Amino acid sequence: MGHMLELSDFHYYYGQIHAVKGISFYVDEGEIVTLIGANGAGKSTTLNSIAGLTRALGVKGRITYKGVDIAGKSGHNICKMGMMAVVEGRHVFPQLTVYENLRMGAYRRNDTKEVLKDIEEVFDFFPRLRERREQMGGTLSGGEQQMLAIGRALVNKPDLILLDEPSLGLAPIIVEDIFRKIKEINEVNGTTILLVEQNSNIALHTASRGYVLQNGEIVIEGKCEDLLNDPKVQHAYLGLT
Amino acid sequence: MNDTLKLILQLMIPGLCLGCVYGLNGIGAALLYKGSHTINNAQGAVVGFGALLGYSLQNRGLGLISSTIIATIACFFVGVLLQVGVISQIEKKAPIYVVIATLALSIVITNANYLIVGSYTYDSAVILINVSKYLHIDSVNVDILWSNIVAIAVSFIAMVSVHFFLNKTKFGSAMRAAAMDPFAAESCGISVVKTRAVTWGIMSALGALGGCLTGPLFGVSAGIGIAAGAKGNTGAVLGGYGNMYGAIIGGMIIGIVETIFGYIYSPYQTAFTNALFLIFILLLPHGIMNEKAIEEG
Repeated sequence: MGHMLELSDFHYYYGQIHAVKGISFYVDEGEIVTLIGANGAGKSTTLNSIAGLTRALGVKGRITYKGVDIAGKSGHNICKMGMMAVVEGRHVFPQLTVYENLRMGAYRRNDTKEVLKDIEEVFDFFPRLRERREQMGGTLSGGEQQMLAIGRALVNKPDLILLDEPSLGLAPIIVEDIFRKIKEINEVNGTTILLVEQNSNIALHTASRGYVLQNGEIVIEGKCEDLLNDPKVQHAYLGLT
Repeated sequence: MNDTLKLILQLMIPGLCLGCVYGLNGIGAALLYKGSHTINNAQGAVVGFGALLGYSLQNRGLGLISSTIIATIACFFVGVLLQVGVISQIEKKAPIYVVIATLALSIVITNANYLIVGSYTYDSAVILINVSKYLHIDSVNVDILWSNIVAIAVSFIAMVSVHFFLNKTKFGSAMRAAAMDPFAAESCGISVVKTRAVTWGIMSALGALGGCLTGPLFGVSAGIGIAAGAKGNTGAVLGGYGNMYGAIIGGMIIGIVETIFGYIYSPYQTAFTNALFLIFILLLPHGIMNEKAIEEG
């Protein structure tokens, strides 16, 4: 079998606007791969298209996941194949409790007993969520919502997690905490992660390989160590001169 | 004293009965608005269809209960079909036309009703035979129509069932989740197409149930549901648009107010109701339940 996830010549159109212009990249099993770039580079569009959360009409090209072409499939079907997306802006269900939110993450599973055990595991992983168990999702702080969004994805025991801007709007200390957890998910559970980030510094320190997206095209790719030392990346994305 | 009490009882019970039917329609309107921010103008037409279906089943010899159940279930699937076949297709291509499409559906369904049964009002004994008896309350010497009581009881059971379905079952929770955030729901593996289809199904089924329940009271005609659908919507506004419980309360208020004003001066009955509606929209746009769904858009 080839790569776990592979995009080849992937395009996305918002009507007339050509947002992603034929990018190709892959993610292997067990990796953390990051997609970095500025606002509007097409990162979120790419990630949401992989998860089937964009309009199918706009998707052109191939997206293969576990050997199956999933381009244009709807999100709930892709979710069934063991891929969970933690979308930008967290999107927890505001009027469901933390516990109910986690139950929704396991919507596709029918083994209720196991689900309850896995929810306890998520509570062990993010103890803050256990304290907030009966609180409405909308009343949590930003960091807690991010934990909940990640926890909601974990409950479904995915093979691949797509993470979109987990650092968005969070205090630096919480960002570090969240990224430590992301690394732990990858190392302990062996879950493959595709990470989309604007905070290039922390993303490149977390992932093993990276792609730089600029105006809908991949301009630089390589191992994260190399990207961190690349003068162009340093200049444009790491704020070094 | 006894006379006042008698009068109130005699007005309240039919008012409450009417209100329950409006409430049933309002629930659907509230669920739909919360879930997909649209308004279903076809609701009244489906109510009429359900009532006619229930009536014709009775004409073929089925009992009141079984024909009502069959009509309700059949209309659940009518609702699903409308959503899957028409609304979701339009939603995909040009979401702004959904409301207009429901208006078109309303015209189509209502006229189909007329085409099939003509413009008669059937108040056949077949309907009335089971529930036309009166309950006599001795202490105040009041007679209450059994069909009123049955309608109130059945509506109440239906409302409680919807409440439990939405709050205690997995699919119900998924429906609420999808209403709050369809994007996130889809990412959790919830099929939003399915939850929306079921929303339409529930809405249509509740409407048909209401139609079947009011059939024995007003007679059955092709256009019987138009007012019920519209008033259900009005009730939902009073309660706070998008709030299911508000829609029930709002519907009951409209039913009672309408009946009382109908007693005071019947030609202006509807005018009073609409005045109430205007007052609420102007002074209390979030309704009784202070529902904020209106702004989330």
